[in-house]
Amino acid sequence: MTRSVTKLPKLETRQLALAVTTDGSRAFVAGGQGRDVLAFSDTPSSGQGYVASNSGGRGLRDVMVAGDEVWVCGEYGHVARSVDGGASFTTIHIGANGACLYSIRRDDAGALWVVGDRGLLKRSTDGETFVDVDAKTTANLGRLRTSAIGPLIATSQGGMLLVDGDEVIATKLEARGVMMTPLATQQGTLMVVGVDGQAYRSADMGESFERVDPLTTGFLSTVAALEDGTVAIVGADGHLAVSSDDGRTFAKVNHDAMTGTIWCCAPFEDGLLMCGESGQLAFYG
Amino acid sequence: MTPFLILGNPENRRITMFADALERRGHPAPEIIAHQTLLEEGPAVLAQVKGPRLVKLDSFGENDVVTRALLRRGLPRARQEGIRIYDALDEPIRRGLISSPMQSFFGFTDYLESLRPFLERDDFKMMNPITGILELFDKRVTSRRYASLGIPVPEFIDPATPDALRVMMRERGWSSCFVKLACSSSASCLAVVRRRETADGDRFSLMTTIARRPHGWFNSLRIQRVDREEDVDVILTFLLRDGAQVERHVPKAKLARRFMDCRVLVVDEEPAFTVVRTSTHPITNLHLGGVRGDLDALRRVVPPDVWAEAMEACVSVARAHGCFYVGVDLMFERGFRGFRVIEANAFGDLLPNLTREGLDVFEWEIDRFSRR
Repeated sequence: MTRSVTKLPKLETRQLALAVTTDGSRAFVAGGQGRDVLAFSDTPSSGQGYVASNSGGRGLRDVMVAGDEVWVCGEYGHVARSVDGGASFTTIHIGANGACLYSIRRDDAGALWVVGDRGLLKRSTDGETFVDVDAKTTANLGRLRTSAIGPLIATSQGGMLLVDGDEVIATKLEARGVMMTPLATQQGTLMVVGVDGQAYRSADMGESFERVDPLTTGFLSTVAALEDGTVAIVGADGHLAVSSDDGRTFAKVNHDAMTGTIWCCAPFEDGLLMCGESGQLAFYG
Repeated sequence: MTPFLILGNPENRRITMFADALERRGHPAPEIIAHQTLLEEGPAVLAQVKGPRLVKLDSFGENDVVTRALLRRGLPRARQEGIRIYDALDEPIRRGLISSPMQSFFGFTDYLESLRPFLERDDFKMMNPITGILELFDKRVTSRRYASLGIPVPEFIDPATPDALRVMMRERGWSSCFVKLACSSSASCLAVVRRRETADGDRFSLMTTIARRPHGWFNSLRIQRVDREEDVDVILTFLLRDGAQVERHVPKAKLARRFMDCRVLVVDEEPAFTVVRTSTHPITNLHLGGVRGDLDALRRVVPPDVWAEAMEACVSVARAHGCFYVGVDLMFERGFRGFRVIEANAFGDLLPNLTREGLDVFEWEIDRFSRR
């Protein structure tokens, strides 16, 4: 399939967009520094119809959607929930003690997971009570992604964690510095990307990792899988590289649709929605 | 009132000024334990301190004996890691000599780790935690960390050699970049690399304070231009070999026709004090000819949303390290349309002659920390 990158109109806020999530028909974008940036659209791949919302936070780091339910998390231990598709939010106090929370996700069993500064890992089965789970690390826990084998978590100290039930297992990854985002591909391969062009894959559930070449030595923010199994990596300087062999090799996608860092991406329809600095948006499809 | 325990170099004005501030705020005299004592007698000295205590772990700089003790302590690891070593440790270090900042950092790391079990106790409340202080001492770590948090920083690269640096600059279309020793301070070990396209290919030159003299590498405190390609190579090799943070030179905004940046001191998750620094060249450090600028004039030209976002970014820096106070160097881009965090300093609170609501910087810190 031949794809190209289309530049979309910027978000009106022109702020940093750090997270995007999609649910088949809609996209939610979250971010901001010191302020709450949240927008959602029913026609995200055209870049139209992004409606601004506000959850009462001071900088959002993740957004998750399931039906009419929308969850966000971010700086200062902020977690908020919407039951009307993101129109209004209620703050949920999870006892994060002011930590920055980088991800909120629901696993296949329905449990909500929240990760954050200095090994903060919490789980909730009812969306109201959040209990601590021992992450066995004091590293900051970065983005969490759910998968068939359980939640995956990238850490700020070059690691990747795998959650099995209530047990957190450290994979054998020994990267250097901050790892940003993990992924389990459609074929069950684990991947993770981070600073200095570091991208790794593991075909044995984290027992061993090989470094792959994402065609840049720059900062990598996100690895994501498209609907057809294509693996995409995005990062600084508008870098987008894609793999059609389950993350073994990558080809760079040249474009001028986004400058600066692409902070996040998520599969949408048969392509990839990407967000970044100054409210920049683009669609690869 | 819980008394303070200060670890530092007692003769240094950081300590004397802080002790004076404590007295002015009605606190009991602090207990001061010298780095030298701890280095010579061991961290068990701390076990004799009765709690509770509020703890300020301060700079080890500007004391030759302590500097050499840390270098000595870092020597084994420096040898192991193959970096340039400094082993003339029985004699005072010549003024301005760049001994081996990375070796010093290794020693400092080992020293702080030895203190950790004695400081991380329930009846001690530290202003800045050991982990945060150590993180703040490596510019490569902080830059990447901030980038991962969405805090705007200059784009960085990781070249191992001058040739690799040239290639990377060319590939990215950078006309200029900063090369800073990762564990140095106060612009003492940096170079600004400039790339100029000519008919014969790219020409590279440097602006730096680093100078090679018979006794080694010195920080001359004088910014000079280096044009000869061989000299450029020698200086870059020196910097890159010792571990350097290399980042794009993002053009700084100008205030009253002078380049400017800011030192923002974050205290208790609030941007408490801001010093504007201006210079005729992009290196604005006050000891290199920079002068303090007009904060009110700056506030008038920075759009309010950009200012608010920049201040929040500075707070995020302090939060990232779990520090009660951090000095954040912040620059605004041309036209004040954006900003970048350049670096942050664990001991960045020595800002004399600044007041807020009648309190100087140390008084402000003391009041805020005592109330926590």
